[in-house]
Amino acid sequence: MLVFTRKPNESVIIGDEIEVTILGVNKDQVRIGINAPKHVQIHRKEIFLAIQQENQEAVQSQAGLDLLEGLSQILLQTKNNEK
Amino acid sequence: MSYLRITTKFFGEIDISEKCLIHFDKGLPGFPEEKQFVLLSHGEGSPFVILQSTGNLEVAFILISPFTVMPHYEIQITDSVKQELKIQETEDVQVWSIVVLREPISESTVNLKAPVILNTKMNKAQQVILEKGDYSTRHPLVILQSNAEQGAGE
Repeated sequence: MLVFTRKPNESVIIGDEIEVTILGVNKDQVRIGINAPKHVQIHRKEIFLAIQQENQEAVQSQAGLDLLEGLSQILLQTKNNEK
Repeated sequence: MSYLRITTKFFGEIDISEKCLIHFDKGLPGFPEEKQFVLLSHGEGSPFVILQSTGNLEVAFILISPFTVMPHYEIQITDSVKQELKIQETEDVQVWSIVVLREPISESTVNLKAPVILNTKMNKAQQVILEKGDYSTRHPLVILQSNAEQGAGE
């Protein structure tokens, strides 16, 4: 890992197109601004990991079509009750 | 028209038309290699559809419309997503949420935070992570009776 020391308003350039700026430092929080091309997706890491995890669980679920059928019935019933 | 024989997780071997293939140019989080899928109906009247990878029978997601789960669900599709999926008309867009089936079924959840956006005209799709909106990755799929009654009183 590359490590830099930066002050507020100082930046780091990654490649030609990505600029990361330290906007402010506040006790245990750092505000950063990122300028990147639109096709580069930027997410908080923990959220990205949570989505990965959910996708893995979705695929690994051993539940089969019978459970899906049951759920389908419940959802349809709930809908009918609402009407 | 050319057909493709694929092996599916839930329905065994089936033939699909090549024009039904859906392209995820970036794969999905956790599945960056899976770039080609097909949407399969679960059955008549069912709110679910199945997003099956054509290359890996084990990779099949169960999807439901987030609007079925939460009638007031609202998202904004960013310009970059519109560009990448070549979206021109709103009516070409389908929004789906990935379901995690768990037992007991009351534990099953749906990911409202990261919907799958599909351009039905171009057959291009992407799972997007919503930065705005306070949606959960684990929204309960079915609310059992006792909870439903509480909900009705709110």
